[in-house]
Amino acid sequence: MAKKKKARRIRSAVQIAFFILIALIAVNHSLDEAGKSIPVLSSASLHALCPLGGVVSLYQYFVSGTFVRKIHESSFILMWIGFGIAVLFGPAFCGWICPFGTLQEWLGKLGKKIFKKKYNKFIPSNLDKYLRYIRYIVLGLILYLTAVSGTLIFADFDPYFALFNFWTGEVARAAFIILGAVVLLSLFVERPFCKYACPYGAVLGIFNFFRIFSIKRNAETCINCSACDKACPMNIKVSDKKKIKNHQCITCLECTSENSCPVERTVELTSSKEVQG
Amino acid sequence: MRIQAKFLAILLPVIFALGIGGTMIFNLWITEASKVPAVYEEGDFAGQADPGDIRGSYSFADIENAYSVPAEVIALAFGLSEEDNFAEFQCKMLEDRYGAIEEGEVGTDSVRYFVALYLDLPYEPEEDTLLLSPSIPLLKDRVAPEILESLRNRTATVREVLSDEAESETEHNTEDMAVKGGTTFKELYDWGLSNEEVAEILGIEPGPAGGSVRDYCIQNGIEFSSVKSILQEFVDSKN
Repeated sequence: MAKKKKARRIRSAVQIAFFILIALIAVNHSLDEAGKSIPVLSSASLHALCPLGGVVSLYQYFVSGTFVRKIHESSFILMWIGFGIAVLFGPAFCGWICPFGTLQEWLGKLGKKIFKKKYNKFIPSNLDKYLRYIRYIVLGLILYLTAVSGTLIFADFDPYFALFNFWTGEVARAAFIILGAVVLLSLFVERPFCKYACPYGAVLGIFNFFRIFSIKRNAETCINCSACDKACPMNIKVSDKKKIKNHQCITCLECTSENSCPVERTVELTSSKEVQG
Repeated sequence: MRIQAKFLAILLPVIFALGIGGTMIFNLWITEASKVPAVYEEGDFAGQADPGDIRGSYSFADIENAYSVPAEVIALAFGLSEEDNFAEFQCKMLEDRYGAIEEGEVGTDSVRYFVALYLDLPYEPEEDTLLLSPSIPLLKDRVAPEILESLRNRTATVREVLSDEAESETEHNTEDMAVKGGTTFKELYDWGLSNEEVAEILGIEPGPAGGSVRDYCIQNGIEFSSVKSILQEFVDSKN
């Protein structure tokens, strides 16, 4: 059990590190504008560090060779890094790096304490499976409106931007409202923004269908205890599949034998065709 | 090949570090606008810098470099003085200085619109974008009369758009708003008079924003002392 706790702590440590890093850079950006920044630390704007900015700029970049306002080369580079990671491991960016996903997880821990076993099970699965595709509608809308307007339309609704810029006066009211809604919903549902609205998660989710390293279950050693199902923050039913090919998987490894699965080498992240028992 | 959490924990930050570090080495890691604006791709203006590409982070000096519109002119158009260090003044700072009013707001898009009008280039501003009244005299000889006329619906006085904080600061200085020999047209606009009101009082179109009202009156055969008191009355009524 101690070993399993250690594996979980490893991911938490990475998440905390990236959360702090982004928060410090956001603060440093404000300090820089006031003419007194922290040396060595980047003072880039949050837009410049958002890989989604690269995705929404793709159309304009290929048509006119320019970026959407507020987006720079760095967003493009981060987008390609995110894609590279996704080809290998799927949306590991969501499960390990994204500070907004981290925030939702932290709030989810509070939700688990409040609602115990009911937590993350409020929405009927029949309805939920359709709601999960809303994020593709969000993605389509953002891509279209950004291409048409040449401006970063999403910024005015972006709860991630609101979280790390709430003190700047640059955040639109709608973004604050959405941030508040996500904070509240996170107490009932694990990672609600990731599941239902995140356009970047939607893009990375597609990589789950052809990633090199996948979550795989060894049916021969599996004892059908459903511990993997219970552990999955994205409510994916792992216990009836040999290989997870769900667009919602975030490669958090919560379902694996390192974390929840009680049987050694039964649920793993691997490139092998079958999990070796 | 099996991947464990500890391996991912090392690999993911390393991929980011290598990706960012590698692009830094080749000067590809750019986190701010290059200040080289996009140009019109086609039409009569193909090849010219497009004012629509002015970013909030552009200072007035950046605009002068990229579009050849003097920073001083932009500063005058937006009611700034030398004390504001207008060369370094970023477009987005207008939003802090001037609050939104019911009719719209003054911000980066206002600068795009002003630069486009000043250079007689096509640009479609956002619906709620406003110009400030001091910009009108600067555009008078640069745009067609019907466009100038249409700008009346898109123009606010400095007084109207001053944020609460700035407004209270201004209120402390109302005693300084005395029309004197050295008073410029810009000061009159800053004190709330519109271009049209000044024209009506003088009986002719006002002079350049930075010019002295008295000198302009003398040049045009108008007795300054006779209009001074009327101008003062207008200034007092607006403050």
